[in-house]
Amino acid sequence: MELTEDKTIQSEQNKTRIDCKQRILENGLKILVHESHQIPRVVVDIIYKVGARNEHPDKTGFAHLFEHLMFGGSVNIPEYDTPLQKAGGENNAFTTNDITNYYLSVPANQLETAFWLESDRMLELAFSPKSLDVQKSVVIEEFKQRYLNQPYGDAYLELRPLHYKTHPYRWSTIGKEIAHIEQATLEDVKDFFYSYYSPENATLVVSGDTTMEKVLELADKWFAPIPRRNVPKPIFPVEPEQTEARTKTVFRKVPLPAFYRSYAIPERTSRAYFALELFAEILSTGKNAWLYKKLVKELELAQKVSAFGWHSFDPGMFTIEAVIREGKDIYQFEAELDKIVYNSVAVKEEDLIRVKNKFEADSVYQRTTLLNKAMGLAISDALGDPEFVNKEMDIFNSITLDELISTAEKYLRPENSNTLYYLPEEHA
Amino acid sequence: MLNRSQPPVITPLSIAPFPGIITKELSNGLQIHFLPWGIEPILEIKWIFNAGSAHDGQLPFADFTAKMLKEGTRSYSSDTLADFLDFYGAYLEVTSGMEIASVSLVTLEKHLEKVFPLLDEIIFNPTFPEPEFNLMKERVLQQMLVDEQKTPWHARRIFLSKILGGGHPYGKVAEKEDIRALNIEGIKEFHKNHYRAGNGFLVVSGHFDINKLMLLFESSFGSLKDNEPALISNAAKHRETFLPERIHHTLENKEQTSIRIGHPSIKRNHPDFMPLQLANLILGGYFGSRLMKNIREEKGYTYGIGSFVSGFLYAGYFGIATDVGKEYVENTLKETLYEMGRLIESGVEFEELETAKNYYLGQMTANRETPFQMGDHLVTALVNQLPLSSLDQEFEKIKYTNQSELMRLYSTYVKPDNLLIVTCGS
Repeated sequence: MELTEDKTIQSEQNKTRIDCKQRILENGLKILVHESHQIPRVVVDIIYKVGARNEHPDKTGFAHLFEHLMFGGSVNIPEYDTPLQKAGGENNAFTTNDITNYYLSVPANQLETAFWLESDRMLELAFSPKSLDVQKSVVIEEFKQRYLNQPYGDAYLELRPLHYKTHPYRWSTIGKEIAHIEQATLEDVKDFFYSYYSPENATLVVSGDTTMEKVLELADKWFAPIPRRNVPKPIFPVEPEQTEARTKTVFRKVPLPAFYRSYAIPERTSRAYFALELFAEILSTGKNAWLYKKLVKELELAQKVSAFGWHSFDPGMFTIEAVIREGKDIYQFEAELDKIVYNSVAVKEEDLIRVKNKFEADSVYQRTTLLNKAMGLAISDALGDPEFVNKEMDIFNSITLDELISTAEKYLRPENSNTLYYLPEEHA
Repeated sequence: MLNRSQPPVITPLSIAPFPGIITKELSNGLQIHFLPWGIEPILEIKWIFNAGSAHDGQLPFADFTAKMLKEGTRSYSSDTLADFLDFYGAYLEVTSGMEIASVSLVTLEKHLEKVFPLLDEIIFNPTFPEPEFNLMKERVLQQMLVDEQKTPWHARRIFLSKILGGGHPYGKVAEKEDIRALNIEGIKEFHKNHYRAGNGFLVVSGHFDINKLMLLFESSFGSLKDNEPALISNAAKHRETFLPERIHHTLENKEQTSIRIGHPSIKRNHPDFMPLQLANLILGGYFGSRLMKNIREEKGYTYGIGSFVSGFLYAGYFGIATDVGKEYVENTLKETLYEMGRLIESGVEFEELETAKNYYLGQMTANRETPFQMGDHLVTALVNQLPLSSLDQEFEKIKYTNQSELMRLYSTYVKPDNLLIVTCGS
C-alpha cells in the first residue's frame, strides 16, 4: 500500500457532524471517506484547487472552459459519460473563482467504474481538437444564455472590475469576454492540464454505502500510479485597501432599474466572514428581513432586495442587490438602504439567537444528502481543513452581539463600497 | 500491468425497495400515511388538498389562496408567524400545482410540538388581510414586467396554453388583467370550498414517533367535521382540442431564441407512463440522449436541450425545450425532427438501451434519498390514484423494457408530424 499518513477523525454523538476518515497517497492525492449506509449509493467528489483566479488576465474563462473539456474523453477512455451512465451513474461539475469541483453518484456496487473514469482523466486527457471546437461553442452559448440573453445577466461582469482592481476576482468564471473563449488553443488546454490537474492538487471524497478499506483498495489500484506534477503554489495579488466609494452607471434594455452594491470583506475562513453571514441573514432572509420589511413592504421602493456574502477563498464581496419598483427613484432607494445597512447597532440579542437556530436547523436539512456531505468535506479541505465543515456551526455560535455589530461597522462603510446603477436605456 | 482501456465489470445494480408505509385514520376518517425514513432527526408533514389550478374558474384563485395562507391568521400576523418559524428553524410552505395544493411543515424532531399548532392556524384560520393581498398582487405584476423580457418565459407560456388545446384546465396562464381582477372575497370562497378535512390527506416522512404524532393529530384535527365530498378538478371532464401549429413571438435584441415543441401525451397513471419515461430519456431526457449528443455535443447550437413527458391525473403532454443561438433555430428544428423520426423508424441499439436503463434505475435509487423526496413519491402515487405497490413495480417495469417494446412506444407516442412549435426571440 502506498500510504503515508493515517489520521482518523474522531466520531462524536452529534448527528449533524460529517464523520470522515482520511489518507494521503504517495503522489499527494488526499482521500476522505464518509461512510453512510442509508441507500445503496455512493457519491465521489473530486475537487481540483484551480479556478478562475488562476487564469491569465488575457485568457479568462479558461478554468470553466477546461471543466467542459474534462468530459471530452481521456487518454484511455474515448468518452466519459456513456460508461458512467451504463453503470447507473450520473455526474456534473462546476467551476468557481477558486476551485473546480467534479462529482458523480453511482450504485454502491459500481464504485470501481467511478474510480476507473476519474483516475484516467486525472492521468491525461485525450486533447481532441473536435472536442475543443464544440465545447468552445457550447460555452459561448452558455455565456449568451446566462449573461447576455437575460435582463441584468451581465451585472456582475460590471460590478467585479469595479470592486477588484488587482486581484483576479475582477473577472467572472465565464470570463471577461467571448473573444477569450474563441481564442483558446489546444496548446493552452495542455498547458492548463499539466499545470493544475495533478494528484497533489486534488482531493478525492467518497461518501455513502462503502467502507474505507474498499476505497483504499480501489485508490491504490487506480489513482496511486498517477505521477505527481509538482504544481507551483500560486501567489495572488493582494487587493489594495479601498479608501473611497466607487460608483458606475450602465444603461441596458431592461424594464426596471436595478441596484448592485458590494463591500470589501475578509476571506471565507475569517471570523468576520461568519459575523457578516449572520448580519446578511438578518438583513435579507425571510419575511421579517430588515431590507424586505422596510424597502419592499413599507416604503414600496423595491420589487425585491437581498444581501449575501460571496464564499470566496481570498478576501471577498458582501453584496446587496435590488430591483427598483416601477416609477420609484433609485437614489431615494439608496438613501433608505444606507440607513438600514449602517445601523447594525439595532440588531437585538433575540435576532441573533433566531438566526443561529435557523442556521443550525438548515445544516441538518442539508446533510440529508450524500452529495452535500461530500461537497462540504471537499470544499473544507480545499480551504485547508477537512474538519472546517464541522466547525462552522461552533464559529457561528461563538459570535456575540458585540462582535457582529463591530464587524458590520468595520466593513460596511461608504468608503468601502462599490455601487453599480443598472438603468433602463430610456433613462440615458 | 493495469489495463485502463478495459472498464470494470458492471454487476446488477444495487436497488433499494420502497420502505413500508403505515396508513392510519383519525376518528373523523382523515387519512394519514406515515413513511419512516432517514437518520437525521427531522420530519416533514404534508397536507395535500384538491386545490390546484385545475380547480379554478376564470381567475387564478388557487395560486393566490396558497400564497396568502401564511399572510396572517387568527392568532398571528404574518410577521409573528415568520419570526416564530425562524426561531425554531422550521419551514412552513404552501405550494399549488395543477391538481393539488400542498401545505408542508419541515422541522427538527425536537421542535415538533412547538411548531405543530401552526398547521391548524394557517390552514383553518387564515385572515387574508387586504394590505398583504394588494402588495402580493403588485409584486407579482412587477415581476411579470421583468419576466416579459425573457424569451423562455414567453415560449413556455405559449406552449402551456396551447399544448392540450386552448382553454384546458392544465394549460392556464395568468394574464395581468386576471391578476388585477382577483379579490379577497374570491380567495375566501376558494379557501372555504377547498381547504377542508374531507378534501385531502396527509403524508408524514422522516424521523418520528408515530404514537406521539397520532395523539397530536387526533387532538388538533380528529374532531373536524366535514360531510362534503372530495372535489374533482375541471380537468376530469375537459376534452382536449389540440391543433398542430407554429407560433413565433418576437422579442427584439435577443442573442438566443427559445424553442418549445410538443404534443399531447398520456396521463400519469397510464400503464405505459413509466416505460415512456425511459423512451423519452433516450430521445432527450439526459446528458447521453440523442438530442444532447446531436445538438449540443456535435453541433454546439445550445448549452442544453431536453425533452420531457409530463403526466397529470387526467392528461399529459410531451415536449422538447431548448434555447439556441438565433442563427441556429431552423437547423435545430430540422435535427430535432430528424432524431424523432430516426427513433420511430429504427428504434434503439441494444447497448444504448442498456445504458439508458441503468442510468434510469440508478436515478430512481438516487432520488429516494431524503425524507422530502420520499414524501413526494408517495404524494405523486396517491394523487394520481396509483396503487402503492407501483412504487416498487416501477423498477421491474423499467428492467424488462426491451427494444421491441421501445419501438412500440416510439411509434405510438412520438408524433413528429403533429407538433406545436413555439419560438420566441428576435
